[in-house]
Amino acid sequence: MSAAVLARGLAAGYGGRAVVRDLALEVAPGEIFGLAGPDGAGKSTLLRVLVGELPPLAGEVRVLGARPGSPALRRAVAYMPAGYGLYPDLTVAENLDFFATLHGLGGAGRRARRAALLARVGLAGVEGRRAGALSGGMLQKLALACALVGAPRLLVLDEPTMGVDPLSRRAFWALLESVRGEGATVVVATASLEEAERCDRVGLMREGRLEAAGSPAELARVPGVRLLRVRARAPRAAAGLLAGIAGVRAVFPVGARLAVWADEGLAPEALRAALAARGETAEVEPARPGLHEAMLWRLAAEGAGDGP
Amino acid sequence: MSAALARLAALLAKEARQLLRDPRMRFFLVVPPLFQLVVFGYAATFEVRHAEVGVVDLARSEGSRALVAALGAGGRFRLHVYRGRAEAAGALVRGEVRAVVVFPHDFARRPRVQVLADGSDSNSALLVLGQAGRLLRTAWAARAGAAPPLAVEERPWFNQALEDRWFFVPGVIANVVLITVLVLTAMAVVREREGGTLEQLLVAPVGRLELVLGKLLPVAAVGLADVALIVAVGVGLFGIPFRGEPLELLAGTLLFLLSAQGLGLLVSTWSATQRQALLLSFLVIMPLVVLSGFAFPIENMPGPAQALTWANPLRYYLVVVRGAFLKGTGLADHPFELGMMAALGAAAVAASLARLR
Amino acid sequence: MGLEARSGTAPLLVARGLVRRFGSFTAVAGVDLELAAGEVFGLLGANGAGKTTTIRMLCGTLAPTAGSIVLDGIDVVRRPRAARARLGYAAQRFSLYGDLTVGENLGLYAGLYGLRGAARRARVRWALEALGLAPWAGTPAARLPPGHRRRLALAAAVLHRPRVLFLDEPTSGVDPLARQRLWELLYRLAGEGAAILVTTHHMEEALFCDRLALMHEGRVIAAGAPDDLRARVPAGTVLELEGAGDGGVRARLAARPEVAEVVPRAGRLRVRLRPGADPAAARAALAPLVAPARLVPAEPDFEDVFVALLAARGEAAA
Repeated sequence: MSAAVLARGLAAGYGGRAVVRDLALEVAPGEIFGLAGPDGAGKSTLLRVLVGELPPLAGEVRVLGARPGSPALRRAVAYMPAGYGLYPDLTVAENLDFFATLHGLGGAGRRARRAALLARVGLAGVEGRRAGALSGGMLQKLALACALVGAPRLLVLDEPTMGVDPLSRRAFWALLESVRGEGATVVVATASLEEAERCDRVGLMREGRLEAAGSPAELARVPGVRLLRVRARAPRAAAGLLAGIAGVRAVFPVGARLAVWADEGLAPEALRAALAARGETAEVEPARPGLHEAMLWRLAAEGAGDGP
Repeated sequence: MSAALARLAALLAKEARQLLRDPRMRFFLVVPPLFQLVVFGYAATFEVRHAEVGVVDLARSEGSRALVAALGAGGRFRLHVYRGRAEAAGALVRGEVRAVVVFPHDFARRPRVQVLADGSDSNSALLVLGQAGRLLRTAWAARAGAAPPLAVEERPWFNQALEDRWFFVPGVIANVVLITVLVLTAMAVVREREGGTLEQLLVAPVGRLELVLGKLLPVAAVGLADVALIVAVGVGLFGIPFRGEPLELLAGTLLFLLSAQGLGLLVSTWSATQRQALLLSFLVIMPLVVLSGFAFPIENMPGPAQALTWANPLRYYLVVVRGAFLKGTGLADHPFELGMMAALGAAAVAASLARLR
Repeated sequence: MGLEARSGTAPLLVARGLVRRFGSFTAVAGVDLELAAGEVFGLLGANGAGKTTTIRMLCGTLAPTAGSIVLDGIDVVRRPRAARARLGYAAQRFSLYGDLTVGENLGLYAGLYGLRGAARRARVRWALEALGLAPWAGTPAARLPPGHRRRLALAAAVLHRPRVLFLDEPTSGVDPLARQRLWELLYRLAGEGAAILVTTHHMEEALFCDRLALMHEGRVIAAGAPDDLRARVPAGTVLELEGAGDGGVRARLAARPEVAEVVPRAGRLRVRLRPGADPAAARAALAPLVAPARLVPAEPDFEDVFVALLAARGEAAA
């Protein structure tokens, strides 16, 4: 089957200024694809192109085989914008009914759909509450329910779990999994690389470009170096010592510990011995880098530019 | 104290930079005042063309007939002849003519004419009065030579306060200053609130008074510059007479700036966004202008409206500005107006300081 | 409880019984905090947990409904202005002037904090260097990349060498390197004797703090050093799959009643048991599903800590 999302040479932006440049992207049907990157990397701009809100400046985009924004996609693509785009002065039921009406539902069909969706996201019983009075986690669930009202084949979400509590986050990801389980494709933007690991595949965005795409495990692989975790008595002093040890490539203090990137050949034992020789008794254990750790290493290794 | 001054200096330097750097601001400083001045100035000096004017010649003398002929020549006025004052007044009330020129019975003995104009449209009344009067005087002088000069009694109807052809232009200064300064003050504060920068300022050891002065002074400077600009262009280019004391104008302007900026500050305390501030500013400005005597005389307003004008700083500033321009008044002539503006300004600033928490 | 500042030093900041209501809504419902010099303290919680309201009260910009705050010996509630000279604050939202350059913004705040002449220039230069902003000194702040804008906010907050530094979500939305560098800078400032309070909703950032408090619905539900808090997750309730499992293993595990969720983490599957599940029994029940791979106990992360603490309060079951 053809790709759910396909972009080639895509440029997009505002007022003729490209925020996203020369971007190629392919999302397979039925996968949860994460777009990760810092603020300003172009994630939201790209998502807005995919849902047809922003016409591209250049390049080619196909969503479910059609041009974004074309009438054929109106039902098939759902979008949950950052900040959710709900009406705080309307109740939960009114918000949902409004979106249902936009999808041509009315009467008993709309009531049934509303009940089913609210039950699914765990909001049954709060139909009469104003959206503005909901907690962050509940608001996020309502936003998802509104996005799901038309049973979309592609669900596009912009930082949906930003700042919600861990329980709500888990519940939300369980819902995304269930949506995917029904055959839908999910594209989700996140600023957190830890969260991006929940995706099947991740695209790393930076300065308007898609730098790499792959499974979290592929992207977290860093050849030639290894990650060691050091717990020292005086971690901030140990950072200086570690930097002077042969084979140590980068040292990142993390609270009471240190994340040390070293040559592949440097064994934890050897590092411990080297530290001991410098008067620091430390515990050293191997660690597996996640997406965040790998990205940190790459950025540090390339000495990310610091000038205008 | 000197620490407070140093902080104020830092704030002022920042405001000045922002004001001068923002192209929209630069535009706002110069263009609207000049635009208003030019529009009002030219409107007030436009020649009258084909104005409908009634004539009542009760004298039926040779001299009066000649003047009627002179009035009708040249195409400025289209004449309608009435037999009596009552008939002409009826036409004026119905709006069929914009002015009526009456030659009294004793014109031959005592050369004087009465020019009645429809003062409900003050601007055109002024124009018609002025031009008809000038034309009659010129024609009379050319004809009679050594005879006693023609007395022209100009009398606007429905608007007895209309007393000078330049009545309007000084008022423009007051309005321009009011709008510019009130909006700029409100926006300057709200822009900080909207942009989140106010939060940061409030965490620094800056006093509220320093903060407010840092906002008021740069905008006051802008207001003063606008007044100077309009006065220079008005007097220099349009030949508006300035008969009074510059010091009075300065004092009146400073106190009016205080009261207008106080209102701007007050507006800002109720606005979360610049859009709200702009809307609220104009909601405040409109009644201020209407209830100021700028266009509609206060004496003709219904009682409650008249009462409201007491709290309107523009009302007092208009008196001062018109006095300074037209009547040649001095600093000592308007203690009440100056005092009221000071009091209103102080009250508004105090209320804003209390609300800015 | 772990709320007391580290021993040996008098606390720089002591807050007791902080409450803030907005109408009928209670944003902060009784918070006690203590910060010592040299300490990086984290305030963790979701949006709406009361972090920003707390920080605004501590800075003296929002009067508490009840409670007391003493910062470096000054009563913040009664003398907020005196306290402001000794504290620095960087808001969550960029709150400097986009139309002024980096240098002008810093000059403004140096002036507002009472620095003048050569001292002012020297301090601005120090801040530009310390935060790596020197190449950007002449750039309008609005044109800085988002990460640099945060650094500028931080630079403005530390110009006057505050005793206590408050940072609201300083790392939200920045790339991993910027985040790491920011924490390293905080360690440096703390090393020079400042007490630093940082809020974040990224649970994984808890490890960066010397001590932290977890906030939920206006209350601190737990506080202490990161490792102490991790010790509060019942042992064996977080497992990792060691060795290769087949493709269906994730779905098989997720379908089990004792499993809360299965998520990939750093190339392995992480299995979180439902609160209340018996770890030994669960492992025994799950083992046949994953063979030949094995489920081994893993170090809990702060999401686990948070969920375990809520479970202990009886809220996770909902």
